[in-house]
Amino acid sequence: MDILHNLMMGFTVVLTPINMFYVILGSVFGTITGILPGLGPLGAMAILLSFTLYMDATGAMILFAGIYFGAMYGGSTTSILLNIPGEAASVVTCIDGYQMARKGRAGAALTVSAVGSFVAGTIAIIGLMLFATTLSSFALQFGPPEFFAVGLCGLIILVRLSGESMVKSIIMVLFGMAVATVGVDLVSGVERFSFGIYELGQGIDLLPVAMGMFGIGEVLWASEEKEAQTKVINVRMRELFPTRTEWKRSTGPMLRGSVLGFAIGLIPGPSHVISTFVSYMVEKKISNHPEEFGKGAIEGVAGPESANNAAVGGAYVPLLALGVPFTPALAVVLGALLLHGITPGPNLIKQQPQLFWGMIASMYIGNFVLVILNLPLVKVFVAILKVPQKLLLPLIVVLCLIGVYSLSSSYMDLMVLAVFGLIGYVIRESGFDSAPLILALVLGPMIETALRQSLKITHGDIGAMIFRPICMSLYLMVVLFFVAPYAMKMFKKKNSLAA
Amino acid sequence: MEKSKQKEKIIACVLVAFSLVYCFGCLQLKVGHLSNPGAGLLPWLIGILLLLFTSINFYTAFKPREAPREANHQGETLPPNYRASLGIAVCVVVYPFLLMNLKFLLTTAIVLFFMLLCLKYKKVLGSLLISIAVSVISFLIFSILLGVSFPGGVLEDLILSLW
Repeated sequence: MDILHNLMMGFTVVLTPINMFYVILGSVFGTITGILPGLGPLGAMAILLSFTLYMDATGAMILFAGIYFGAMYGGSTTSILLNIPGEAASVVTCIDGYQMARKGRAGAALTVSAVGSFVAGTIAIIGLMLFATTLSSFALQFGPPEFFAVGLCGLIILVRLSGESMVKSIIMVLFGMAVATVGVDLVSGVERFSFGIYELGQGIDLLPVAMGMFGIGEVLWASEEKEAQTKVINVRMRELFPTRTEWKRSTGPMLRGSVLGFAIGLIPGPSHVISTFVSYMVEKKISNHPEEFGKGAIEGVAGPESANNAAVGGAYVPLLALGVPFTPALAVVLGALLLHGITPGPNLIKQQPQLFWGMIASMYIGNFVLVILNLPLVKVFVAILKVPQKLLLPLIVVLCLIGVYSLSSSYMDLMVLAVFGLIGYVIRESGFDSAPLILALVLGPMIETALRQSLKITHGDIGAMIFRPICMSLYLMVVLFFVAPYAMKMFKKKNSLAA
Repeated sequence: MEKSKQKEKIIACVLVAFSLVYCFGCLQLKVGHLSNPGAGLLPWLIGILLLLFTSINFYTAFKPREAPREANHQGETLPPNYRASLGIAVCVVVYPFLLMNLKFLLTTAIVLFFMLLCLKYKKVLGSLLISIAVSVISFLIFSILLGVSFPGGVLEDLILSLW
């Protein structure tokens, strides 16, 4: 009853003209960023971060939730119609979605993808509501050692899941943490790595780093490529309806994808991308028609598209319940909250009920808006791809420059933006992933504070920090996470040798 | 292929250099005791690990590798447009310095114009008109609508007075 009452309060928060405007704006902007290859939800959020200063915290959260969900919807459109994944989470959809389009079933693929996203989004929001409230009550028992364990384990799992080389991912995490140590130490007042420069003494903000790595870095990367002509497969309105068999074959994958996606969303790293691959593999394995996969199987669209949307909902749980973002995009969301003087954590739901429940309600409405927008306006959204990149890229750069400057009218921020833009561009070509750097930059200060407080509480006894029930469980989970794949490999090898 | 390997080696060197500089910076910080950690405890840990992993990366980058098979050139993509990315990079780097001296409108228009030229979007006049229009519109939106105070000069004052 409490949840229903709070949800109703959330709807009263969202159903105001300004917040509804943010829901629609976020959904449209998210869809566009999902459609445009290269500019994902992270880039879009990073670019818009400075704009959130001019809205209240609830509005900012509503806008970002719309962008995040919208990007997942938008990415599938180009995957199905053009065989171009607008977003990393839509790569899998290309496999069967485009094949369906070539067979004249593009409309059905788009509808199944949109409905699947809606179903998954709704299931994930319910999961988020229940899990976040439960976890935040549980997290009230957390002390500094537990927060240290959550932060550390999050980064370790992230290292395992992101990038092509573990060493490179570790370097990026350490680099991010090193950047986070720049500035005055809040406990002792000692200046660290500021080299006598006053502005560096204030520390390096997330905004110029995120906008540099994901805004400028992406633009520099995209500007290298010559523009190719895109050939869009035409879809008529009457072709949008799937057949009865197609509906029947999609229902199971949608539900399985939703549950899988939500569970994977709770894991640190690019969960929305991983969830699509896992869902595709599961569907292929249990399907009665595995031979159709890769040739236009509707399950290959319904499952992954549901999974990536559900993963977004799942990823919100650790941020809202613990104040720990597990994906780079949510690190930017955390940045937006901090800009408004709100520190997310176990108390957020109690202290800021309007913000939390308003955002949840906006997700319900946003999901509905996205289905209504995406199907009839599919042609309009695809037409966005016709805007020349040669015009779009300079405009994004100008937006980043102005956005960063407007944050605190600082020339130093512009220099940081330039430096991290160049770093983002250079390292990307060498197989380094920028995401761990951003997460480490956000989690670094929290980890440091928790570590120092823990050591003080335990009088320097590291064992007392580790051997606490919650900490121990988290560390064991990480060990299992690393050992399990190798153990399974060995087990399989032994079995095959025995056979 | 040779170029990307070269790039990897340069990045590996830069990363090791960064780790050394970071470790050198740590020397000035007090580590404290385990029961009362100082401002240098975490930086020291980061510095040591950074040095270790950048050294592994350095070794991997310089380790002789088997030459990969010659790529099939059929259906290869267009050559990358380095001129455009270099032009944009220069614009981003010089923007703060220009902003200090030339103020908002002129700086934004010049930088945007240069980027459009690098990307060969339109001819000179078209690019110039777009640059001027975008900088004026963005000035109006940010300055008047959102209340951001940009470094202003004669042009900015003129627009504000006209508005």
